[in-house]
Amino acid sequence: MTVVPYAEQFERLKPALPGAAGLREQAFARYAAHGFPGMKREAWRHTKLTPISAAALEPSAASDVSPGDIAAHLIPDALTLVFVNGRMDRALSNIEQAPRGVTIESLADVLARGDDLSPWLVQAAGDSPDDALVSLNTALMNDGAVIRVADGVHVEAPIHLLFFAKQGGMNQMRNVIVAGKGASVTVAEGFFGGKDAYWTNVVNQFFVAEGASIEHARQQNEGLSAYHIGANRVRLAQGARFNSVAVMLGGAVARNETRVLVAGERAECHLAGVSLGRGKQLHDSVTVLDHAVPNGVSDQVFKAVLDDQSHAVYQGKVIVRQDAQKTDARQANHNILLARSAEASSKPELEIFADDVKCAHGATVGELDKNMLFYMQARGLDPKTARALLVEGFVLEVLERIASPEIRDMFRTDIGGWLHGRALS
Amino acid sequence: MAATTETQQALKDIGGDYKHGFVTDIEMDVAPKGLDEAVIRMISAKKLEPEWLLDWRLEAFRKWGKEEEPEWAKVHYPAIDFQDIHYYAAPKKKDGPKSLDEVDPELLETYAKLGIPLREQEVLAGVMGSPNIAVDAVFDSVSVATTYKKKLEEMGIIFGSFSEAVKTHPELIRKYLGSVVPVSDNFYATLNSAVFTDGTFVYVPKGVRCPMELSTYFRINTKETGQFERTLIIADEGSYVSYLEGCTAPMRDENQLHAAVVELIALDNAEIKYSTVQNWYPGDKNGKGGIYNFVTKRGACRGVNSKISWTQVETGSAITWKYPSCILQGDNSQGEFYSVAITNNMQQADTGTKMIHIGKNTRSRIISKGISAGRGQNTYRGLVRVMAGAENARNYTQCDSLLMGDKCGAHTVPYIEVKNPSAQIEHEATTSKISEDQLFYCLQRGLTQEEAVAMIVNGFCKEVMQNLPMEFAVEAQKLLGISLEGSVG
Repeated sequence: MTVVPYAEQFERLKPALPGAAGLREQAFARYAAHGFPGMKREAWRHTKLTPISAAALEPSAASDVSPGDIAAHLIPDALTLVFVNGRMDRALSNIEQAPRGVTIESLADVLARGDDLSPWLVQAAGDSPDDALVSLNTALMNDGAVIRVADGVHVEAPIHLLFFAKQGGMNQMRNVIVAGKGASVTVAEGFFGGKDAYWTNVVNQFFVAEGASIEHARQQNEGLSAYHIGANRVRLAQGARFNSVAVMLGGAVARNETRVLVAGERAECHLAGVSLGRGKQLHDSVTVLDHAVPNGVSDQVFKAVLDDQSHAVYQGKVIVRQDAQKTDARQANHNILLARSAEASSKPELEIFADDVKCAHGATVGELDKNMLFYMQARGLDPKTARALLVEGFVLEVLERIASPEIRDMFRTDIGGWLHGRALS
Repeated sequence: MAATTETQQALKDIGGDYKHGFVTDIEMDVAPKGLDEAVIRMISAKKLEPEWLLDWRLEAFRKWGKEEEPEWAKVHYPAIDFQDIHYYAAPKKKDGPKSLDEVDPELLETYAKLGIPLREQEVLAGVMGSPNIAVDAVFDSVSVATTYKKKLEEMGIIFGSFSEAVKTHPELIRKYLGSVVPVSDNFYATLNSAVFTDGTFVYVPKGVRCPMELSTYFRINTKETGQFERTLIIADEGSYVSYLEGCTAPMRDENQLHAAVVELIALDNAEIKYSTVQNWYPGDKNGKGGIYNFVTKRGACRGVNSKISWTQVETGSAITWKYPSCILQGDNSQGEFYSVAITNNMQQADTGTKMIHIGKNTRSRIISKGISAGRGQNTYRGLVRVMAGAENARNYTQCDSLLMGDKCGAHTVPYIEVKNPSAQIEHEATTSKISEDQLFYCLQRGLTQEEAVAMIVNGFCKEVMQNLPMEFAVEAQKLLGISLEGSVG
């Protein structure tokens, strides 16, 4: 019998982990039954995890960042929570400014004081081997944000979660975001790190109650040796809306998996992603959109621009259950390969059990359009600028889905940096 | 329909003639149930095979023992007991009905709707002694076949049964057998490699354009070749061949499991067109019985400018599991896949294609139309892979699903893997249903519900049906309507 990775850490660390002891034990047992998802698992077949399963990483040591370090990443007028090496940095956070009807807390605080978050937390993981790392996260979760927006409250300021990894090790983060009936809120996440190899395992849970709306923006700019495994679990009640845009720039191996359960009628879900890859990066975008009830609307647009030997994966699945009549689901994946050794894999999957539905998907892979390049050059642009402009145009379509202009601009700057960072020759 | 009454009348007449049909004692040559090396040796010995082919079979058998049944397809069925199957039976099943009177009237009704001539109906239904009748009576299929065969021989085309070819052209078989679908390619292909009993062999020599559609249909001796069929088609440089497999008429074959392997090889500038109409027994309305059709079909475009085109109309079988594929090795080679798959009642189909682009300027085109009715489950599963060296590869994929009823399912699982930036890959898919408006429009103009559905479905499948050879297309269109009977309203 092989030893389950991280079993030793769990035994040793659990007395010091904040609260929820029983929940952690159950979750660890679920994880241990399957272990790390191997590449033979269909949903994980491109994500090579052996380096982190073999490494037996320890939680990152406590560290700090200076206000100067984070200044460039801040969103003006946002409610900001800063986490460094998996722990909340109170000095750099300003959550006490949260308006009435909004509570923003550190998950560690909530669990330590014995609040029972299990009704929320247990909803994240199923018992499939594909959920093993979510279970491991539940067992080892160290900190994160718990955001609760009361019924009918519209939160003007974006809530910004910033995660910094300063040294090697692992950070098991868990965020729970609950929007009450008719509430609306914007939640942005940013992940940044140094040169060391480290592992971020982050699970976000979004509960969008009847008529509520969550705008979600994710900026993944981890260090280039990092492993980033992100899992989002979204539950939409009747008439709820979820709009998410994720930008992937960093990480050696990075995964962003979003599963949405459309549990209430007339709910709406928009998922989008941009992946910019270089070096030997692997960016894996996984979505499962589960339409369980009638009259749901969903659309997905995922785009990747790939340089060097990078590899982008899109595995999107739309399930339309037998009851989910009148569902309108769309799925699109477009990839541009900039270099000879870059690779794109796409699997837009439809699983449809209802007949009165509108479902469509499309996928393309190709290089930059030579006619467009020629057109721009004929008008006096040099090839480098022409290419940069085309790539920017290609990804901006996705960024335009971000409602907040501040966040959109920040993401755009990030992408601009990537474009200028590479020799577009 | 006039043809229907005519056929029914003729049916009655002929029925009288054969009530006291003659009974011939047929020697049954059956291997005991189960599979071991002895059975394989027996099959090989019965067929007087050379030593190398026996070794080839035995190697496959050993590998098969180590392989696992694939479970990734979206099909569900009770576990198959591979030791509960006869792997050799020749001549197969001769206890057929003595005349058309004894044939299931439902089956005859379908024949009538397809407009199949009576004598042909007898052959299809397996009426005892019917081949004899066919020779001296109206439907002279044997002499037709012989005439064709002579003409083909003059042109140097080899077209015959696989076992015959093993004796007459061992060098070709040895060179090409297993070169496209390797022995241990997958569980069912490996099983087939160990136990295949017969099949078709075609070789078209350099520069020859085969003047007629080759079809198993014309080749009496391939009827009932059994569960483990092996087909090998080689188109030498600059040649062309169009091959038709199957039959539009329903086949009441009692074999549960069919695991065939088809290998196509197109050399420089050669073209192979392979068309299938599969209408095996789908089981009854509750999913009892029916064929498991687990087939491995693959073509290799080995030469420059070569082309392989698959067209399939899949309406039968309880479970269909097949992915006719193209390996586009030669520069400028082309692969095509046109498919219509219908699942009604409890049928399940998991079908699609693989296009592997290896050579430069390779092109592929995939058009798949899935139709689900009743409680049928229809999955398109396809792979388009562009290897690093495949400069300027092009693919266009379109897979559309049509759902009829709220208890069926339509699924699309495309894989796209691209390692060359000059590739242009496009994939589109849609799902829809027959709208009330469309139906209303047709009914209003005097069509019955069933005619209307057949017409709309035929429109939906038009792009695929156009690629069928003429003689198939007409029957296949009728078949679509029949397969979907009772699914709307």
